[in-house]
Amino acid sequence: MLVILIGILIGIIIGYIFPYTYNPQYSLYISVSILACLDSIFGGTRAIMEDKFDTVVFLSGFFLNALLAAFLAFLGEKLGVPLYYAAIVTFGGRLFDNFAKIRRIIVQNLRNNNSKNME
Amino acid sequence: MNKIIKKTTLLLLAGFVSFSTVMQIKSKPEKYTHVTFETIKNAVNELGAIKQENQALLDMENLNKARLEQLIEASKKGSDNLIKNYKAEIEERKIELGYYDVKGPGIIIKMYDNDIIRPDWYDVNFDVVHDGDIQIIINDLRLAGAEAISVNDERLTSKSGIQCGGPTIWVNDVAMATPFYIKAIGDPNKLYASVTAPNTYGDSLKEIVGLEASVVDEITIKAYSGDRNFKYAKPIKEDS
Repeated sequence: MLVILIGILIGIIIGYIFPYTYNPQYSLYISVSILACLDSIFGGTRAIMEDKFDTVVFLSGFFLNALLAAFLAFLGEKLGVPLYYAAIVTFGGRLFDNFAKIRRIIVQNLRNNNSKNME
Repeated sequence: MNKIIKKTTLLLLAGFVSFSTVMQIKSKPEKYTHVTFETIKNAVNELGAIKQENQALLDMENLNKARLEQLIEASKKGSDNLIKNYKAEIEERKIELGYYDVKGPGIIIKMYDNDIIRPDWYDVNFDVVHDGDIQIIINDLRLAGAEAISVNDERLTSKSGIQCGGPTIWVNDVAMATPFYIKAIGDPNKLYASVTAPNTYGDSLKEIVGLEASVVDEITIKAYSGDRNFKYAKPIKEDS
């Protein structure tokens, strides 16, 4: 958990210092990709907590999901149907799913600690 | 060891996500509306057109400057030279005003009424070529750079009018009936496109009445034969 918070902090700092910005033309693709990446991060955190973390699965999911989301946005633009909604719904839903599981694990850990202290 | 790799991966990727998020926020997407590639392409085309127009205006300026230069040169050499220069220009303007027969590449447009037999209740107005149709076609041709235009060999000048006369059409005070042959001299490809390209008036008119356009290597357009006198308009002369 701590690792992720540190990573996020470092990223924010570098991002603010970094003098360049994206071409706004691609802002939709990047937004959708960010959502996919965020989902992977949450999934990875959960996997670490459940001791099921697999680096290859995590890495491939991180990049391929982002690419797929961006591709859906691109394809949707070509077809005139906002296909990136699919990415938003899926990854958004999974984000909450993963978050709920992380929450439960943390709550469970806290309770276990408490009960140990009580004894 | 394995755990360190896992943690490093997470650290790096979490950093990457927040980095790109911050970058995205910094590029202020809320300031831009979401545009499609189509809109961008259109904007680029528009920009190109404006640049082209700009270039045309610059060319025109250079041309006029050169002309001025020429006149100044001529005036230095004496009045005879100047007069010669002006005469050449008068000849050019006379071509424009339709004093002479002219020939050159261009197109011939044939417009004709439908000869379909309709039931009694059918409105005949849908089957005939109207004065307005011809006016719009001529307007399109002028915009496409036509240098001389005639309708059934009546040369159009700056004083010409096209008017409805029931089943006929009046051009320059001459009545004419279907079919109408509109001849225009100019860049044949541009002229042809101006009446046949999709979404032009000529293209849609083709669905209602007869309209055939053909490119011709050399056509002759006759001079204007009507009255040229001015009764009311008097030029205001500038004293120099």
